[in-house]
Amino acid sequence: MMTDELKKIGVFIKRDFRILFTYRLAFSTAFLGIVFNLFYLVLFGSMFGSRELSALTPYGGDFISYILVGSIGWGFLWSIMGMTSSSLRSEMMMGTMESILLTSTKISTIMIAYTIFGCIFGLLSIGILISVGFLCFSVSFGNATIYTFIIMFLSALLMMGFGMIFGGLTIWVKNIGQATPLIQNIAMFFCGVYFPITVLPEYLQPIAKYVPFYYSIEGLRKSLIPTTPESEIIRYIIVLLVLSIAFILIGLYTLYKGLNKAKKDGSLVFY
Amino acid sequence: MIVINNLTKTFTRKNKKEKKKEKIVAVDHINLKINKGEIFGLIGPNGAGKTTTIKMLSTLILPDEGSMSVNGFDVVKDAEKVRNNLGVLAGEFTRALYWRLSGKQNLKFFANLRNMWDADERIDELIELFGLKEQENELIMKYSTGMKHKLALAVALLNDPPILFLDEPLTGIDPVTSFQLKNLIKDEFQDKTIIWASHNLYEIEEMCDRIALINDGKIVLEGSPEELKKKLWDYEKIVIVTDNTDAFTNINDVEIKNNVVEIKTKDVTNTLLGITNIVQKKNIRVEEIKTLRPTLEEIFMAGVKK
Repeated sequence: MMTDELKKIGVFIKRDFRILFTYRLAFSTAFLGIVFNLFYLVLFGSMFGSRELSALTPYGGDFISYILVGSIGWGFLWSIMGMTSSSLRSEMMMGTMESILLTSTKISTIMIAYTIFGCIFGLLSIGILISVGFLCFSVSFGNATIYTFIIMFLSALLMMGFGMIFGGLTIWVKNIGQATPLIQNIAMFFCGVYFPITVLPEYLQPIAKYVPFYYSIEGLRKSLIPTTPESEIIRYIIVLLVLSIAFILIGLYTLYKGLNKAKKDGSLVFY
Repeated sequence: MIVINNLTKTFTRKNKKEKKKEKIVAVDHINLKINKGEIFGLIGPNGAGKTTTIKMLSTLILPDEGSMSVNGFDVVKDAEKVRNNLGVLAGEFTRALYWRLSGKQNLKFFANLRNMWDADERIDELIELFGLKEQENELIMKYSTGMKHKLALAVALLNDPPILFLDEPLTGIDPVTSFQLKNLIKDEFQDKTIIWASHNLYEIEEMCDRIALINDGKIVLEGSPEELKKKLWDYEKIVIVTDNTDAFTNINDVEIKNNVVEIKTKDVTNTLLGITNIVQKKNIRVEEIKTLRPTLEEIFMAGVKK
């Protein structure tokens, strides 16, 4: 039973890649977009010349490295989130969700499959960003440690939980997917993606502590700085572990509630 | 066997004009018993509750009241076992396929989701059965509507389910494909229990052993097409085409339009004898004379009015 559900995850991922490759142009432009975005930010940063930015001193002071890590972390997180919520929404709009549910496939299996596909997609963008960073700006990620990977893994779980919550709400409220860019922009503001939160007005800075993704981005950065004490990184890992467990549990609950409501309303398919 | 007891479903919808929520009773205390191997037709106008009933039986919509069992399994409590016994074509079922996958890839995907990990033989068999061999590797976005219908039916048959729910299976396809599918269902699905929902009465009359007329969520009539005709229509019609219609004006229950005389009678033999007498006595030239049984359409209209 368990093995079957695990095998089904592979079936979903295979299907998603097959479909993705039929959109070759969209697929390539998505990655080009990531690279162009990075170039814009780096060129923007070059206006500061070689001047060390005081706000970035805790992160090594280099703007390009700061931007690259921010882009990588954020791109990774939101490719998972985007994949889980948009895939669920499009399955419902296309009408394929009903056919899948008729096969007795568990909704958690479907969500895990979306998450893993999002992770793979995110890792592909990371690969591209690291390559561009290394080739064009000589930024190396040689400082990455096992903690960096643990933080990325936990962040993926956190986003899976967040995606499940969003997925459940999508089944429930239907059009909530349209709010994704707003949520993304607000979250980005408080996560230190393109600027450290210390540059925010003082009264806004505490909000970052309540944004779960802050711990992913900040943890990722800290894990790449060799001088960061191990205890500080472990603190980020513990926070992320607790948050991901909590988000996954809330996500599963929201998902089952949403599904139950859609079955009561007859709204598993919507247009 | 499928048993439905007191099944009820009410939806709440927003009335945008009046800006308030209103309740719509989609299925209203339905009771049905469908026997093994039977093709059971569910007919009714659009919005009568056919699709909601089928979706509830398919575990896709939860009922408000009542119970349903499929092959002895409770549809709500044993949903997974019920699904394993079902093949379903419901709603806009061609949309329920992946248009950017090939026919074969779609079949393989859904076979795997049904835990059929070694399904190649079954897939080939279905592709052959539905005549999709030549297009099996083409993206289904390039398929015609008829081909998509065939593929959707093939997906529903992957696990060779003993029970099939077909909701408007022939809607939107050309007569040739429709003919092919009907023959295929007649020839190949003899051992299956089928619920066939449609508003096409000719298709229902041709395909179904028994039918239920559903209107406003209620079962209005139930029985075999012949039983229903007898129940609702205890007379037959005699139609005479002649230029001398005046000769028939004194007959009971007669209706004359242009050169067509329509007589309703419970005793066809005696009425025909009477007509023959009139024709001989008055030396009337009759172009055509025929008796008509009521059509299912007439039954349907009578049932809806009732």
